[in-house]
Amino acid sequence: MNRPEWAPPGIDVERPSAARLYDYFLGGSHNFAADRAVAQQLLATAPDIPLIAQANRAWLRRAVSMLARSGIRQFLDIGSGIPTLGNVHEVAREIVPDARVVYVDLDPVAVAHSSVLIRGQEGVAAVQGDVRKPADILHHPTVRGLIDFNQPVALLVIALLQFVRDEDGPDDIMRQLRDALPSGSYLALSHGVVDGWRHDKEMVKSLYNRTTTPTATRTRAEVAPFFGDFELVDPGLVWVTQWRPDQPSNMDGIKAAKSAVVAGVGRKP
Amino acid sequence: MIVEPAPRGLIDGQHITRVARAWARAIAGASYVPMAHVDIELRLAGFTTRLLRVLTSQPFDPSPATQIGVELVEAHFASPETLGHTIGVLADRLPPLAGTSLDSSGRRVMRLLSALSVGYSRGLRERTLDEQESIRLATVLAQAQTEHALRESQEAFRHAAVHDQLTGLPNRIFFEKQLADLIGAGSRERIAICFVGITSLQAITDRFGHILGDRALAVTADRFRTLARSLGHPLARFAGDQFVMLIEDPPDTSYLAGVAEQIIATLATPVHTDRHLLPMSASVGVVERPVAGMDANDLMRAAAMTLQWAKADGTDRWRLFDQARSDREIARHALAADLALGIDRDEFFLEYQPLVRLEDRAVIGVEALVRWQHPRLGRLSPGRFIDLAEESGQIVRLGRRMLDKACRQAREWARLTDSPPYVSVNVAVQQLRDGGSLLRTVDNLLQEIGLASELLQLEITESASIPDDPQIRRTLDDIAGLGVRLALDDFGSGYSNLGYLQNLPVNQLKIDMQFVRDWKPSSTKSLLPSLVELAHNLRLSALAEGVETLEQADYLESIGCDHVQGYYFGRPQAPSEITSLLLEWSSEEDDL
Repeated sequence: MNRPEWAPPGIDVERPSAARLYDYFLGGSHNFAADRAVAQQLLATAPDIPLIAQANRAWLRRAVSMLARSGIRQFLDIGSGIPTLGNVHEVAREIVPDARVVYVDLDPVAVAHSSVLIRGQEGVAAVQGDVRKPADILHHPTVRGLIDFNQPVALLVIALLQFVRDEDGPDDIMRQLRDALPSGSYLALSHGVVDGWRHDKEMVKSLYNRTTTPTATRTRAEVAPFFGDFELVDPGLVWVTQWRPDQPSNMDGIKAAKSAVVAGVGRKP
Repeated sequence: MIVEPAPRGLIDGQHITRVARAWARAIAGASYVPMAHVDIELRLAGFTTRLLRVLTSQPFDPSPATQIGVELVEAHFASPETLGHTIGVLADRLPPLAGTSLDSSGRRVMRLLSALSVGYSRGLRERTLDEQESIRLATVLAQAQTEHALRESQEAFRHAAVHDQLTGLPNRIFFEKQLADLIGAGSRERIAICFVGITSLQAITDRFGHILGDRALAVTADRFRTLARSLGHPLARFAGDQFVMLIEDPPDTSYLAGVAEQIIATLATPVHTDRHLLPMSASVGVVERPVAGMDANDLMRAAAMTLQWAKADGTDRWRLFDQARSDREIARHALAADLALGIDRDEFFLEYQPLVRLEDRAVIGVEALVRWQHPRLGRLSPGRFIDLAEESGQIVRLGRRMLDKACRQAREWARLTDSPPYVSVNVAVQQLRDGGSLLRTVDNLLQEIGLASELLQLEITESASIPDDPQIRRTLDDIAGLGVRLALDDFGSGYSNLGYLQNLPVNQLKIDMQFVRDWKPSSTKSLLPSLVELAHNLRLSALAEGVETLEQADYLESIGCDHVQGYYFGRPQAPSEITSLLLEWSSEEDDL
């Protein structure tokens, strides 16, 4: 179908989406047959993906709690996906009741779902946006309306950049996003990496390539520069389960996530 | 987090905590629970306490465990694996805490877990269905939003494409579509168009610039829009300073006249903008036609033509389309297009009219007069095409061709007779303006053909531009310097600045035929004697044009006029006839 350049992106439920796959791996049912078909193939190749997803989601909760406790009152979550459990505004508002949160996602279904979920809640919004066009996000009227870029902001880029390929210029994207934040802001970032991946990389990659957002394969060393001159808080950029863990061993989960996702939180000097 | 106290006296908290910890460990990783681990254990301890209460109830009723199963799912301990691990842990850990015989407590625990499983499965099913519903709702919502956004962007795009930014009115594309649809639909019998031109706009723009011009145009458009709305007729900005109003099935012509007058009347009040009070004016061309067989292009062409007529009539005028006039103008346009081709194909030829000396009635010269043998229209007189040739600039090329022909003809006659006539050729102002090219053409021709320069006369029409244009003056002087005669044609009919006459290198005044035509034998007021005298005072010969009777000829002779031209002495005729005439004359002369 030839869609004119100025037309907004359409919705194709026949095409798997990374957001709905993530939901499926977290045990959710916010997904369609096309998503589940790919998810099951992924599981056949890499059975511990659900554990990795859970570990990433658990880290998000720990990171947001830590940020809220550090006094951050505004959160910009890019690539928020299908809101399922333990959403940023829920976690943050346990600590900062009037925390402001803007969810941004490329997937219009994810955005619509978020909108329904947060309906009627002051200070929370969901907008459609593409991280590959950071200026559009930063100048989005809703983003500007809720987030005061003169006050510290927590920018959340959770398990997102593995869906931004090198040719889309992730370094430049991250630089633009970091530059928009005032001193004292934070970047919480996690990223799927291939360093210790024990499964069939190419298979996983080709399966994800069927989604609307093909994956990029990066190593842990390639993730570190996304923080720019932000100072990584303790313990630095580590396996997602090693970042300030609060639960005792689930060895399988730890082992799985150890080889799949790195995470870190950096503070803008 | 509410932790229900363990039933006192039965089980102590330590047992419960131990069960909860084992339970938490068993289900870890089976589903994502958005809680810190310590909270998970507390939550599971609460469930453990409630389950024990059900297990030890008297009489034993396992049904409350169903609700606990539902709540487990609601607390996000929700996956098939979680249920499996839960049953495994509880079947193992609960019987020793039941406080009854192990055998009967084993059975109780089984019934308890079966009730729990029912509730859990129910909860999981509900949750799945809810989530499927919510994602479908989100999809529908997103689709609606996307479609809405698409429509909005399409609408904005479409609107921008068919509307004029300055006035917000539909633009020409929109209007043409509207007109085409109307013609195509065939739901109307007649359509009329008021084609409006803001005649004052150019002057405003020239004087105050485009910004103010645009503002004046926008205000004008607003006034038109208000009128169009009140009349209920669509209005569009057609181009630049042109607007168009479409009237479907107009009641009659007087209604259209009323509309045109109202359009003009909207501009009666000057436009006030930026401290300037700008008087505005408009012209309106009105066309009305039946829809059947209508060609939109033709309609718009007619409208544009009618607007031009209205403009030509003066400011604040409107005109109704006139088919006969249009036909004439179209024919004229077609003829103009044929003209260049006609020159290429040598469709133009000359006829010659004798110029006669009154004294002895001798033919001393001939005037070459151009004719067009049009392939379709037949023979055309210069009145039909000279204007067109002048407008299109073809006059220069045509003039040169005719000059060539005339000179060759003059040379021929010079060979035939001892006293050959000079040939007088009309020259247009444009030819005189065309740098020194006329001078070169004449010079070359004379040399090439070997024609004595005094056998060529050029007739120039009395014109305002000649005396003031130094280049033309120089050209005339140079041509006269070659020995070529010059005559001032149609003298007395146009611009008369007598002062310049004495400085022009002219040999002859050709007195316009109207003076001869107006002369009556009884008349005492004729200007003819004065004109003849004027010529003589300037040492020029006087030639009267349009002499048709002997009476006129005699009178002219009596007042001293030197030469005449007219039907009485000979119509314009083919060169061969002139040749015969000349031969006749020369033989008569020989006879004398």
